[in-house]
Amino acid sequence: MRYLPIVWPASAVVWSATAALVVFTGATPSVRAPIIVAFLLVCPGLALTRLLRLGDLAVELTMAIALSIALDGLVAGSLLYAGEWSPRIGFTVLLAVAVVAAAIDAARTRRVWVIDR
Amino acid sequence: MTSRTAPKALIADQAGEREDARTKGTNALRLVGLAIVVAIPPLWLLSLRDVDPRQMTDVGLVSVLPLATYALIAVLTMSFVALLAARPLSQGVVLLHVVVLAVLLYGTTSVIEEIPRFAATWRHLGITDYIMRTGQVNPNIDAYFNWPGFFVLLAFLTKNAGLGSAVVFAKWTPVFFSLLYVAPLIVIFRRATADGRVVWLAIWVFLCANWVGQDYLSPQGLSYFLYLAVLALLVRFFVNLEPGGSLRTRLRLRRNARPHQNVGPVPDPKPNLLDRMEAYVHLERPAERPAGSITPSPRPAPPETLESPLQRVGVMAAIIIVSAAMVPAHQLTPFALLAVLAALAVLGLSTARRLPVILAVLIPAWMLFMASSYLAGHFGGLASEVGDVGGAVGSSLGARVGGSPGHVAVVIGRLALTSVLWLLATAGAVRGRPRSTASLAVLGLAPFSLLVIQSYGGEILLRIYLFTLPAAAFFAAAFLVRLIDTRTVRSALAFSSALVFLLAGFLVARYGNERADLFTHSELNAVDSVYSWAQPDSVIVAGSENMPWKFKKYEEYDLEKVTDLTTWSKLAGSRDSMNRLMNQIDRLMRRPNSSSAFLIFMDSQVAEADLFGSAPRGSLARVWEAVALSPRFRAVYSSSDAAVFVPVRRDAAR
Repeated sequence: MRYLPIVWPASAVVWSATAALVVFTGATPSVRAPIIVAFLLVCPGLALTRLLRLGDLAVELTMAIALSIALDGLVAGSLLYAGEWSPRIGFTVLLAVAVVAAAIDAARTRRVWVIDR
Repeated sequence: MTSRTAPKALIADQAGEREDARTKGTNALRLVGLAIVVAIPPLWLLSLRDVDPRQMTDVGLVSVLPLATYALIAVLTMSFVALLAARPLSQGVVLLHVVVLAVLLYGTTSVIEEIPRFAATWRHLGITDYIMRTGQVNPNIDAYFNWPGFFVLLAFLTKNAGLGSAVVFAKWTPVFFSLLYVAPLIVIFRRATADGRVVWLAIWVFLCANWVGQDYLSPQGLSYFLYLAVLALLVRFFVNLEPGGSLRTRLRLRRNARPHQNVGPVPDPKPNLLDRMEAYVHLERPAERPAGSITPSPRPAPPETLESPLQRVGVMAAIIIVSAAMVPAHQLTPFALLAVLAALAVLGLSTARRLPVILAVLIPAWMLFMASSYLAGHFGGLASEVGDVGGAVGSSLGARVGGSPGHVAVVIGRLALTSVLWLLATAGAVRGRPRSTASLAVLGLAPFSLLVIQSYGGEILLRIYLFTLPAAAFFAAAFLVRLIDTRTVRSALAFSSALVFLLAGFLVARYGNERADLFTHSELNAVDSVYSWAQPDSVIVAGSENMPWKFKKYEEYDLEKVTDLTTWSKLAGSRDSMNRLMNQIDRLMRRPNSSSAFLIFMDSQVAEADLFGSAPRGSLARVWEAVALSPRFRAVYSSSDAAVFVPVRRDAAR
């Protein structure tokens, strides 16, 4: 039976929800900083990388972090050069990317799982 | 028949016993290795508890490190080597050794120093602060604002993290970046060899040879990770490994090859607790390995895994996005990447032939449209350096061999470390048997083409060294592993000497300028006080720019430096030359139309002037002393490390 674990998309969604919670409720920086930095450096890229099913953790880790950093930079830079500098809007965009990609991943995982069963 | 099979059975039994004994030995080694990596970090912190960085001499950090710290690094290295020599290779424990090594080598200054090191770190914090305050970039301020990608990202992270300044990230950035580099290096090296020992030793060599210190809170530190990530994805999915062999031929050969040939000892079918732990930290999914296998099968090469169009498009899109994000973040790294991509494509080693074309469009597009302010002001200078290879080499090498005797020794140490690494790498490329010599040689040679573009402020050779380091480390490791295989006393001695030399050379080469690079709280307070007193029209003079400066109000003040004054270079130790310098400082500080003036001196400036020898040793300390004794100046801030003076009104001075 091919089993594609749902733990990754579930983790991405949980982490995204936690990140959204600490940002939108204005949690103290000592709580907020590690959660947000970890989210922004890993989650958007990881959610997208998981869709490709590359099957190698080192490759996925490399691509996830590089892609997250690139997306963070491109989103923040686009807002800044558009004259609409807003870290919160940028964060929301990246949150949406992570959640949507994780949802697609979860749907695909479930489909493969159901078919295989 | 019976008489012939009996000895065979006996031999098989003996082989099985030997295998059991070997497995038991490896398990014991793994346990010892685990104990070592768990014990070393707290012991390392303890060993650094009484280090006083103020006692540092001109050879830098090595002059104050206690013997215990060296001993811990030696123990870690011995454990690593023992694990490398054991069968099967315990990759999880080896990975932990690499992580601890990165913390030890790159985190020592973070522990013993009070605030983040490097004047450039504080400038970068100031640019980030500017973006956080204004929400924009001003390309007319300086070059940083023409390639602001890193600072925009840092401002974005800092704001979303709810922090007022990015300074909290600065202290441990070298450890963070060095660990970040490990994942793409694993991908690159694992693609180039089936031998796990070469992979881990190459990473070890990389960490011991990355002395150029670009991994602080800087655009180049982050861009280097993106550079490695693009190369890793490219090498993994789009580069032909065998020189001259087409991808199709390679795939056909691989399909026909017997699976898991050259597999070493038969793995234990029942994984124990250590095995399961290994599986957790292992960098490949367990499903990819043969059932029950702990070490990765040293199969000829990972299979081509981009089976679907979605995968091919997805990976290529990721490579393009990451490359595109690098272009506005750093001036040089995209050129280095372009050189490697173009060389791979031209030599027929890469199937992603259009990728360099995309980068070749993105780089000039950014320069023409977004960095036009910088280009307009510097085009003549930049153009004049194109093709001047001799000038670029001269400014990178000749201009750096100078200063105090201690500093000259450090520079010689750097040259020796670099030469030894490149010699080992050359030997590895010629005598080793990595299967992708051509592709990795391109990674190691293509960045040298940057010499044709410019001198990069006399740093181009340092940067080229950094870009070539993955390939150099790999080939050096390929050579060194042959020494392990030889198993003679001479080869063991040669192997140990090489590792000891790399480690010792790293500590000297990387932290040789530490006396000038480190800052203290009181030095920071001195600058902070000036910021709180100064008005936009104030004159600010400092011994040199080597201080935590510009971390706020980046755009507001220009700094005048004593070491840039005409009378500084003529300071010969005589009273007359000192008076002339004092008069020039006095005139500078009494500039009409300025509401106030401040003169900042600190130990890090004195250390820098002494190390690099822009005037006789102790000159800046004598100027500081003369200012302190002069009735023309009055101290408004004074500590053991720093002082701030203001000019005394002429009527009061009389």
